[in-house]
Amino acid sequence: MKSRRDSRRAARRIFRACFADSRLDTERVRRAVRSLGGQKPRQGLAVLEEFHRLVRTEVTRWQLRIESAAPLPPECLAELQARVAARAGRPVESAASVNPALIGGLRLRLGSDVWDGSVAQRLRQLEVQSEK
Amino acid sequence: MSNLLQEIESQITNLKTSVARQNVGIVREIGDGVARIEGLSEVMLNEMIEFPGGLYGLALNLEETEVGAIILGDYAHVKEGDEVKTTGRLLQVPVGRPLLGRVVNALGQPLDGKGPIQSKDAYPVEKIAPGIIKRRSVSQPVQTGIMAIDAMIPIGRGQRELIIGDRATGKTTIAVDTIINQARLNRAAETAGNRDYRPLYCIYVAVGQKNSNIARTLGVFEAEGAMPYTTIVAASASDTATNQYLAPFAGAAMGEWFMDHGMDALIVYDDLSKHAVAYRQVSLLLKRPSGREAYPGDVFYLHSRLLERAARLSEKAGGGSLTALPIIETQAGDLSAYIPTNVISITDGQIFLETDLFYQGVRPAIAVGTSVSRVGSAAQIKAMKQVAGKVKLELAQYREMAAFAQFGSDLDAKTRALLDRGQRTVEIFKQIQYQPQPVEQQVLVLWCATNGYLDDLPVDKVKPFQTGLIEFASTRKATLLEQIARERVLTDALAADVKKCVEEFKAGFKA
Repeated sequence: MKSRRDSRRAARRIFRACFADSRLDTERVRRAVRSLGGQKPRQGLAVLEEFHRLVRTEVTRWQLRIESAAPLPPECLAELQARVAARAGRPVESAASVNPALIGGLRLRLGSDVWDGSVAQRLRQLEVQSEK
Repeated sequence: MSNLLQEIESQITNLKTSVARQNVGIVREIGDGVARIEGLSEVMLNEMIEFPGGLYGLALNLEETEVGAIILGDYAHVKEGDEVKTTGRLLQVPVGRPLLGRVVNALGQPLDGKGPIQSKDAYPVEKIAPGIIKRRSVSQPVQTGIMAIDAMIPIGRGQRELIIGDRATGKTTIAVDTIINQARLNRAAETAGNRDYRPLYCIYVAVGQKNSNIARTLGVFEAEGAMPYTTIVAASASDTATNQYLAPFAGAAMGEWFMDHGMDALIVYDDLSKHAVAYRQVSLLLKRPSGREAYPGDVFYLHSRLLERAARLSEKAGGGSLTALPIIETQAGDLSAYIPTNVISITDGQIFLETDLFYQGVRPAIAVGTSVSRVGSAAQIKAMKQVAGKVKLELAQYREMAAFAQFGSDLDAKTRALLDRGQRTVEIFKQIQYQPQPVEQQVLVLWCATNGYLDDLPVDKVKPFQTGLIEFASTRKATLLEQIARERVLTDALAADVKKCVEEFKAGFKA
């Protein structure tokens, strides 16, 4: 139990050291991973796994996932990205995907926030309201 | 018809324009009813979160990158990668009169097959206890119908009195007797059309008990006609630790509704030892740091915030009350264990039941020396105070003397008298389970004991004398008992009538 706690603590320390100007520095992250892989410290694997989890959480926090029922034109995606970045107050990365289950409309996800304007969601809402 | 179409159209228009913003997370780990979720950056403590398939959970651990949640229901189909949403709501249970006569689970869902609970109101399970200004001191009695308690360890409305003892010493029986007596009093007041009487509604919370035990208790309530005034909240041993942890809080919310609406309620937590064990399980699964006996550090706060919800409100706040009777099971009579000392320090007194007394045939097996009521004596009716004022002290002295007296035979007259009186007092306090005694009968019997009318009777004839006297008074002197119940004080004239009644009975009693 103690070693697990130690490895989590170590991973968090390394993770914090990878920040520059309140943002995750990709170069520092790469260097940290190379160094951990090369030196093979005690509990190295556990530290690396925890570090991976922290980096993944941070990356998804600033990743805009755009889901649409049909493929969107690139200029539309770029505009969406720009608008969300302006709202979030910092640049975001975007990844688009097609999800026919949405039927129509868009579903945006940035970190833990989801803006659902899809037809599927509206139908669900209508179902809930009619049940009431 | 056109109105209906317009309504549907307006609904559709609303939906067209609305884009739902939600805060979501992803399940990373699931097991033993506990999920670890990444995301949910805006979740609040104790907020309900929605899992796929309409399943709900409760966010209990808010960490830097993860949320630890307990799942309320069958978690078998929740899997890693599932999306979880915040709801912005706290866990609520239905409250109000429709719950009377029902058996529900920790979420207020019916378990008795009598259909859905027709309740319009809901209360949050976790609620801050009433503050200082809203409260007032305890001044009205809860008549348990158990003579030993009503005379020596009286309980007041709004009090928290702990029932503590080893396994199989009659802890639940005391609580059940109290509930049966409330039903009897409520019904009597209803029948007589007595509007001054404040009915006491009861909530029995069964935590971690065998289903057979809960069924037996329910059977007793039904047989004694107590169910119309009682709600049973059941989280049996086969329920999840989550439900066992939540059940007392759900019961407290149901009791608070009565209190907030100016009524009186009584809640029995049977028992808080198992509740603490369920909370320990939840805490360990949530990877919270463990302390003494592996209980989490906040196990004291768990019980203090639960029991603080019992209160007597001021007239301005409605004048309602919630009385709590928590039960704790000790191991080999050890009162100094972690959970017993915690709950003893939180409550306003305790009724300690001893295994030795139980097997000696002293039932209820109340240990007079270690049992105490810190506020209840203020709530005792005056007649009871007049006849039972010295009984507790005399009985405690008797127990002490009895221990010494067994080593020697030469006793002075005063000690002999104390021992004789003590033996007879112990006899009158013996009571058969599920047969609570009205307060006027208790006053009559105690008057006999304290005025020496039992001293010349052989010890084995005390009980027949007591039964006979009650029968005599109920059949031939019913007005006397009614007068004691109505006046609630033994005036000189009334005391003379009581004396006359006792002497009349004693003259015809064959020892």
